[in-house]
Amino acid sequence: MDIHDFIRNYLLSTDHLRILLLLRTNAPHEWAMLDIVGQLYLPPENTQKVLASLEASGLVVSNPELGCFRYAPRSPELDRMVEAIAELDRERPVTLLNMIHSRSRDLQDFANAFKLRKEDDP
Amino acid sequence: MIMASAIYLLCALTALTCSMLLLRGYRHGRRSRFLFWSGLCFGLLAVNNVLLFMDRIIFPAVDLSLGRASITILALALLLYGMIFEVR
Amino acid sequence: MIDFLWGAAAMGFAIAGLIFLRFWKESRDRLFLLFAIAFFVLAGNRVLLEHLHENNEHNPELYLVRLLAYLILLSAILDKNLRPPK
Repeated sequence: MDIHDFIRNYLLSTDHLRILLLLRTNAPHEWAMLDIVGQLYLPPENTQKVLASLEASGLVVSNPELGCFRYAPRSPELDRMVEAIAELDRERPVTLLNMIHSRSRDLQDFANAFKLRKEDDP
Repeated sequence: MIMASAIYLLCALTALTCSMLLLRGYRHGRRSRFLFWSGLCFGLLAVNNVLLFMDRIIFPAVDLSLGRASITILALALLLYGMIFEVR
Repeated sequence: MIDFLWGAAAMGFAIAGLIFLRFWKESRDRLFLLFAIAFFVLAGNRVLLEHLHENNEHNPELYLVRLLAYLILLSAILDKNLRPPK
């Protein structure tokens, strides 16, 4: 797995990135969903979805009794990937954001190519 | 006969339109290579429909099916390459 | 040989259709769904042509399958341009 594969399969949005990095930086602290919402200023419903997606991909685990989440990668390889992502986020954050967005932008470009009228929006 | 000709040419024109729009999008946008490969794919599908028209209507005695099959496969190979390796 | 090539083409159309389906799920843009359907129809068209090959390839109804696929592509473009901006 290279970093592109990791982004493509695990970091489906920038919210995934922000939540993952928050939990990792503060590991092994357990975060309540609403604390994450408050810390990152995210909409609660979406945060719930992103946490479920991160849990399903084996990057975080939840504590169902407390409704809390903590960083717990399923394999050392995943941990190394997240470490590489964190480093990229410190050193070349714009590059990282472009990498996360580029897949959906490729699809958007394809769909927008069929607009006959010229538009200003990207 | 007229009906078939019209249909083949309409298909060719549709594929050509897709191709031109995608290549326009490629040139004017951020040059996503997915658009480039899929533009080429639709260009080849347009050629394919023109060949089909010639094969069936203009030269019914000549069998162009080997060429048509090869062009179709090439077109799909380019599209799949773009979809798999350039959308990341 | 030619049968093998057309079989590969049918497979190629179907795989491209599946990937367009996945793009639709990711982007939620209907254009990809319509492209997926068009490519599945083109795959079906190849399969039909293959099956009817022994009888007579000049089967007029088969033009209509191809026509259907391309009409779906045209409708995808129209849909993209006529849909009110959100």
